[in-house]
Amino acid sequence: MIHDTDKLAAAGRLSSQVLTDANGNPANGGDAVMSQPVVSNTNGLPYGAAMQFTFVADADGAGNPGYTIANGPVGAPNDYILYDPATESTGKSFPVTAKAGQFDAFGGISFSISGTPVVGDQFSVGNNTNGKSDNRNALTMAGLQGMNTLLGGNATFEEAYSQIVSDLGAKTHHAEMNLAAQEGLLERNKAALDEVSGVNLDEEAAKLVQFQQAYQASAQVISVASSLFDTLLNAVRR
Amino acid sequence: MLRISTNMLFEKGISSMLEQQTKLSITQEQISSGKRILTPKDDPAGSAYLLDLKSSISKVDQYQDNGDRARARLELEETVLASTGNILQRVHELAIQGQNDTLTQDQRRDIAAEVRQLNDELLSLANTKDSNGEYIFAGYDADQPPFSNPVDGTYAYSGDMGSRQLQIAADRRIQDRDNGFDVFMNLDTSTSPPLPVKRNLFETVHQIATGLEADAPNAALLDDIQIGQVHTTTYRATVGTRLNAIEEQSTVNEDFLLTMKTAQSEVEDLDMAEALSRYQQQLLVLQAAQQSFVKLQGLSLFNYL
Repeated sequence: MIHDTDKLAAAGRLSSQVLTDANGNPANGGDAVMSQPVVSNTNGLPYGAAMQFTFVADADGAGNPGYTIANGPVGAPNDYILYDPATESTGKSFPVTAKAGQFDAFGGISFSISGTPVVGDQFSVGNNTNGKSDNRNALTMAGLQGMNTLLGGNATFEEAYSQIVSDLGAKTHHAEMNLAAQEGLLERNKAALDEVSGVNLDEEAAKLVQFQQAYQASAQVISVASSLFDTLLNAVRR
Repeated sequence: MLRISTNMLFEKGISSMLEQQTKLSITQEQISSGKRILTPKDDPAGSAYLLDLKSSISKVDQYQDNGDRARARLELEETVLASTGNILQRVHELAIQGQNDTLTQDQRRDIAAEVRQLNDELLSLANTKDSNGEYIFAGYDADQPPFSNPVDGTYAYSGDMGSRQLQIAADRRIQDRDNGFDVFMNLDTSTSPPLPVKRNLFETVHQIATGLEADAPNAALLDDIQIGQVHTTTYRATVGTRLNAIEEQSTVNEDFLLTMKTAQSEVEDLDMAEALSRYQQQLLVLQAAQQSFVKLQGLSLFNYL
């Protein structure tokens, strides 16, 4: 449960900046633009100092233009990335793997550069300290909703959930059908048992009458026999 | 011959009434909720489909909300950029007027005074806040005014280079603001010795005023103001493009919502006529069961003994 919305990390960890001169005017003469960096791990965060990218005509010592990376986080080796405005001004992506031991070791940054810089133009990538209205992290998190992260990378959260619900429904349905079948069996067995051992009141009443009448008839036999015996005794009396 | 025990007779009567009552209660629950599926077991596949539909619908609802927010913000930005364009237009007119040879220094000072007023207005426009209290041209750092004028003639931007985006469709994001650095600070100038020189809009206007006050209007600045006008118009156009994109996406989203809601209704909603007649029928069966039970219990041989 979140009690303090201030604790929500909606912003990106790092942001890219361009520098301005003393008059507040852009220090870069060219129109090159660096996208906001995407952070993919937490290595080396937060930065001790901002990573500084400076455009030079010969970045690799072999005459290829690019940006030197300097003044980076503590312990970062000075390095470079190649960027040729003549052919790549429509935009060049620099994935995490673009600089092993550099980008992956410092927040796992990836970004893209487009436009045409002039020599000396700079970008800096540093801690995003005041990004009050930055929602990059929140956007990334919201993106998880549509990402296949479950069931071996085949289903989104919602798909996996609805699969559980469907499975549960099918099992419940199955169990209910079993229950109904067993209840029918129970009913039949009870009936069979009752058929043998149960009592039918009408039947008992009828038998009651039957036995009562038999008893009465038997009693009558005794009475007749007794009267016969008496008659016989009287006949032979002297 | 099958012998029915009295015990059995009671039990059968009771259980058939209970069964009818269970069916009635389910039908009644369906009618009162208007839903065909009360629990997942009623239709496992249907209820999974329903969950998918509901989540799609709520996602698109959120996209629509995001679109509405982005639209409101972009409309505000558009208004501000329109006013900026008007101010630059007026500054341009004043600058041309200031070039007039027949003007005296006093008259030029009067014009410069208006230009300075316009520059103040420009600065306050650049520090516009939206309904959330966020400075719309401050990038991500929207809590404090991005533009300041620390020293006469110097203008500083304290925001950052961020441009926030909002999700308006599953795979479509739209930028809901532009950072002030791009809009007001990062402008080309007509002078380019030996490298291109960038100058912010406020400083250009300030220099026009300074030139007029010194009775030495700088004609080159006229071009810079025009560059500023074009720059502003370009941003206005991109804002307009984004507004159109939101509008189109919103129509697409509406259509999608309608389709999804129709599908949801087909899966989930109860056929009321069918359910009501089923209810009547079940009621009738229950009443019959009750009456036959009572009749059967009334029958006993003991009554005649």
